[in-house]
Amino acid sequence: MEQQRHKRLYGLHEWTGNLFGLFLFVVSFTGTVALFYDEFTFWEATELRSAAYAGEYIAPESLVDAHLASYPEGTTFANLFLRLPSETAGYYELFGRHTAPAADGEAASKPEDINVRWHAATGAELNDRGDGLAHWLVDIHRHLMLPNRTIGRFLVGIAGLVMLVSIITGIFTHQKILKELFTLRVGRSKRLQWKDTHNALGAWALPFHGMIAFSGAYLGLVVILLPVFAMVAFNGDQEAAIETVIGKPVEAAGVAASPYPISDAVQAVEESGGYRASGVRLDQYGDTNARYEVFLEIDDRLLLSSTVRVDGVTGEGADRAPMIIEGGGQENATVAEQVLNAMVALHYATYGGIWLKILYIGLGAALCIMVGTGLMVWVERRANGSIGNLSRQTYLRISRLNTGVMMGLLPATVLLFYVDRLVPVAADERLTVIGWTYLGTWIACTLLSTVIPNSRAFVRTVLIASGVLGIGVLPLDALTLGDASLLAPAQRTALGLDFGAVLLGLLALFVGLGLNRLYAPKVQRGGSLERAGATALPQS
Amino acid sequence: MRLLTVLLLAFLASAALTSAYIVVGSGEVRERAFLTVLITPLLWAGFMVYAYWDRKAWRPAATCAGIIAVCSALIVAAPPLAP
Repeated sequence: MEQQRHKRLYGLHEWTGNLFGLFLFVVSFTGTVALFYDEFTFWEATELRSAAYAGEYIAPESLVDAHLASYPEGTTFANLFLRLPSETAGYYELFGRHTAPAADGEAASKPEDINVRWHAATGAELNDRGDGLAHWLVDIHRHLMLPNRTIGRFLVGIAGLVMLVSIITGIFTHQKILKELFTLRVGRSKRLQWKDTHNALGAWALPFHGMIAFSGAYLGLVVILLPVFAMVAFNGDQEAAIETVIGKPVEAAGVAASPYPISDAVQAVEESGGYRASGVRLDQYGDTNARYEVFLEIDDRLLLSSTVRVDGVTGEGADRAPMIIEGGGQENATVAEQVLNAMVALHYATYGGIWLKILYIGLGAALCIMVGTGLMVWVERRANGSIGNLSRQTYLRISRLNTGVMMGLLPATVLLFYVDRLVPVAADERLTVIGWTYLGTWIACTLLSTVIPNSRAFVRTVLIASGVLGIGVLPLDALTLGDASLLAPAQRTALGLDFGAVLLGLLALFVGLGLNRLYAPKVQRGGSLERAGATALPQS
Repeated sequence: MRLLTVLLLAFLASAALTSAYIVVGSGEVRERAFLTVLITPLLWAGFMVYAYWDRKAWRPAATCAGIIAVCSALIVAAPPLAP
């Protein structure tokens, strides 16, 4: 490649990585954690965990009917969705929105949320602890917990786009990729070790990084792109655009009809589809135009889910055949639909069970390390090299700030398990407490890193503390679970999460304790001492 | 000039190109919409890289500006789609 072009592309790679590096790290780290949403949801719901069993479930229609009948006459319902019980979550959950009828001369009421859970075997209503651990750990990745979710999601999409640009420029600038795959100069200067780690991880995990960047960019940017397309193609009529892409919503006829039993519809769809149903969307429930959309849980194909539509009064298959049929592929889907269906499943690793998620953890960690080492190399080249316009002290401060932001996420995440289980708060305040704990720990770590001159000691302390906290998650769960036994078969999801935390804790502890040995002063041939920690990880 | 292309023109060019495809492209509107949503991030990133690929800084900017102009004209001239 022409030398000047190589230089320009390297500049783009370096500056996009440096400007957005910390943001990319945050998105990558939180994304790796967010893979375990289902496991976190199960872990935190101590009251509901006692409802986890694999026995017989009662039919949900009587529960739904009774609940909807408890609202005043004339109440309208929208987006009703019934989540069905599973082996690990033995309860029904109904959510959606309801709007009270407007009184004469008064403005229409605002829609309010519906969220109710029933024990699948007894039908008893279960207490709700409110949003907390799982909600925070996933939504901090999805939309950065910003009040405006669209903006948050768009920003995360921009991270995917920047990653895509970094990957493309990285491929062009690293022309000896094959050699870099096997280059790791252990024992050389810290900058070389970081550089080799950055290059090797980038090369080995290139397909994963490309996929996660592209799917992340798509998932984030689609929220802004669709309105843009609607504005352009449909003269700003977003409803027309949505109608064209998704189809017309079901409209109520205004005539009441006896609903078809939900359990019968689910059973018929499960038998014909060959997959377990995870939930049912109830459109215009109780109307003559009622329609059920049964969601099948597809965990062995590159699909998030597949839906089958059923008439909500007669129980007959409606206007669209299932996208998945037993033994087949996505026969009724176009190429674009197939790719879109695959995108969410690819990004969230929902198509290969727990082992795929574990593989994603490794690759996600590789992504974080790659971004982190890239940032450190950038600083190191300026702090101890000939390039860079700022003073060495300024670069070292930047290095400490980077270290603090990156390392602070570790204790911030693991501490949430303790706060969630040990701090008693009301359901509506739970998310606030969780959020402030996370942000407080993260900010405290960042501030500490900027004032502690010995970065290595800081990293070591954070790793050891996070390791101990991680190991403690298992006893914490066992001791605070309540009546349910952690060894019961239905608790295996939580037990898996607990053991995962212990393993990661041990790893953090091992690395933390071995950090001094890793960067120990090394006697060189001439007898001089090379202190690796004296540069971007300065000694006190 | 390259910075302008990376920060602004690359996005506008990719959005204009894909919007024009929705309006004047062939096939079902639904299918076109799905394709454009998929392709836009790739085009956007592609234009950003192209901004630093070409030896002349003005060429990527002019290319993006040209795409924006042509696609905008197509979008304005074409009748709005009906659902």
